[in-house]
Amino acid sequence: MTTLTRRSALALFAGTAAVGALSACGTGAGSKNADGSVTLRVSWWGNDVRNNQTQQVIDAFQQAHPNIKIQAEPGVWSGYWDKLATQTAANDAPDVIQMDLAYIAEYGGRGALLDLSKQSQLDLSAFDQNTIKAGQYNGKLNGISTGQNALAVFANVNVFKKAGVAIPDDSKWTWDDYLRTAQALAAGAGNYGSSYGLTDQSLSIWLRQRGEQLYTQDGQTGFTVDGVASYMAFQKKLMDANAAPPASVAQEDIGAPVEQTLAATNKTGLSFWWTNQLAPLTKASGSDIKLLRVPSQDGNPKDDGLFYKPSMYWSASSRSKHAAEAATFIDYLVNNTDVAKIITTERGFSTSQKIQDAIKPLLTPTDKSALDFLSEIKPELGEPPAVPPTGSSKAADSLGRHTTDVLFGRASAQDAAAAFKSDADNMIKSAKK
Amino acid sequence: MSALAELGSLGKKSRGGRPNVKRTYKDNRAAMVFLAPWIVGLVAITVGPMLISLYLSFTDYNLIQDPNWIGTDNFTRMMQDDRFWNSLRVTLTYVIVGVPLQLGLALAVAMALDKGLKGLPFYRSVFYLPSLLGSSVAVAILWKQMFGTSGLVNQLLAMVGITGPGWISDPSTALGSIILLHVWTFGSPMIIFLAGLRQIPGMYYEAAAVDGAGRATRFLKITLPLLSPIIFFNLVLQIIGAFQSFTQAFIVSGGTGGPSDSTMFFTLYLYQRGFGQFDMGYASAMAWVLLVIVGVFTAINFYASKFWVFYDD
Repeated sequence: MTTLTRRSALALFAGTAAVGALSACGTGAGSKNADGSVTLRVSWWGNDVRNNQTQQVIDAFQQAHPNIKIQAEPGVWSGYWDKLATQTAANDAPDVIQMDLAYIAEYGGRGALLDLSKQSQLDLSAFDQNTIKAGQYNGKLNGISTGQNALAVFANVNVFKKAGVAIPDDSKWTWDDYLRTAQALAAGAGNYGSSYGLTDQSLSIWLRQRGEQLYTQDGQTGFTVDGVASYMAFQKKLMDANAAPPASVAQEDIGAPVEQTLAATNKTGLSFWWTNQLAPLTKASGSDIKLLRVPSQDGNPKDDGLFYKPSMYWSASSRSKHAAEAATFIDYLVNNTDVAKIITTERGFSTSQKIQDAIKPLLTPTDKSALDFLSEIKPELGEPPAVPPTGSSKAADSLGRHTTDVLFGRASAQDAAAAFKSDADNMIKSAKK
Repeated sequence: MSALAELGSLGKKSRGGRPNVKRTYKDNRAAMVFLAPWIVGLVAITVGPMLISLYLSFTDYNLIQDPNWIGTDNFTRMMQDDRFWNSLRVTLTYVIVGVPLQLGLALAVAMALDKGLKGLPFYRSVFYLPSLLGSSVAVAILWKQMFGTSGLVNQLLAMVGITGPGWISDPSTALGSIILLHVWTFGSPMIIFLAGLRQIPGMYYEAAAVDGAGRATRFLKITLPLLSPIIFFNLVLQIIGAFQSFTQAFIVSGGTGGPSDSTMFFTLYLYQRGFGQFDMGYASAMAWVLLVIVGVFTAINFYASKFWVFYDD
């Protein structure tokens, strides 16, 4: 009658030593297929609408170029960058890559992206200097912008009506006006008033209003601790004035899918979004949405710090075995009017006049109001901000973390701002070789 | 000779008396054949990458460019990194609070089920279920919904007039909510406890009862000592497992380790540094630090076991 011997106890441990799962290995595309055609792998993040549109474009491209086969790798934003990092590390990056402003220097600055200005297959003549500049880093064209958008305050018309509050005049409103409006909304409609805009891009605008910048052209942080502290303090002020939700509700709002955000579920009347998000927000909230300029410190829209942001880019891997074909496909994506008629404004408003003319008759009412907003603010825009430097792609996470620290009362705005600056500086520093 | 035939002859030989050298060699060959898949896996999937990561921990590898040797820079940076220390603190809290709670619950439930309940297989399955699901993404998402500001838990609390906090969105309760998820997945240690309890001969209890030992005494003097190898086994495995846990925090916090880094587990921070910030050298260094920490904990565990684990041999 034994219970358990030392030997059998040890055997238990040995038996439990599990063998790890096999990691999936990349298929390492060969240089050419048997029939002499080449296969390009194309990855993007997006949604169902974008996936369908892009597949249509791919089908059309393959018909026009029978020697190029496209293997689509659609994804969603949340997993996209982890996957791309892993693929790049394994020397298995897709040939054509949809890229974002936050990451273009992360990859381009490390030599992972093809210099598109050297590809004769890609015609860049339709694009102005600002569009080209938005894709340049370290003197290389790392990506070509698919279009542009701008940050705007989305005013939910139904919530304003319910609260009995008039939509403010955005040609002269200040942050104090914003706070008062949100307070009135919260009181009148019995909701939270305003969502927070806790992103690095809304901080960028805040800093521009103070004559500072998030990053300088030479790839350093370009702001003071006071600048960021004033931004964080204002968020706290919104919360304390019952003009924005409590910290833990805000925390949940940050990670929520667009359709489940406070703004989309009509729990706030004011929120910060990019203009190309107007269609999904209108659909999800079921309300008309009026686009307003971001408030300024002094009520002068020339000082509101707004800028056109490239919505996303098309880039190619520098290790692609088919650089010429990749450039051909990118050229097709950004210059072909038939493509533009399929995509219209889903990837932002193209800066190419030819494309703009081609899609004009196809614009929906939300497209038009976004376009009106973009052209309305055009005369007030300043220099576009610098491309965020290599190493800075996770600075946005750090900002979010330190700002919520302030909202939770776990740190003073001054301390949190100093911590954010040191985080951002360290990230940029450690990315330097 | 096929492996199967080897196995067949093995059975005959073991009855056949004295082994000779040739037969020993053959025995080994059969063993090697069966071990081969595991050894290939061990070398190719575990040892190889481990050695590479050891090398990378002394480099500035960023996933894209070739690594440069930077000596112990990653380790010195780690010592000055507040977030590293925070992640260590979060993980230790998780281990030190979560594991004993989980094992305690597992033992309690196992003892309740050991009473010869009707429909035992059914209850055993029911209690084991969370273990199967607990580390899955689906359950973490469910947890996130249940413990949200307007989730099920707060709705229940609201019925009795209590306004619950945002369990997973408030830094003071977020880690606790994840520990609760861990405790809830007590099924696999419970099954092992149950098996261990079944091994304890009933006559010990009967004898003790005749001698006038009460319930508590029987538990302390019979159950615990005889179960101690099982407790030890569960303790070691659960501690190692808890140090490595990742999924729950990743899903519940949406990959951020938030709010305010309150659920920033060591593994999650490692992942963020490696794949988020392209700091794979630093992440590799962290992985080795974790290996050493887990090794130290396990060594202490094994050493301490001499004083409290009772083997019946």
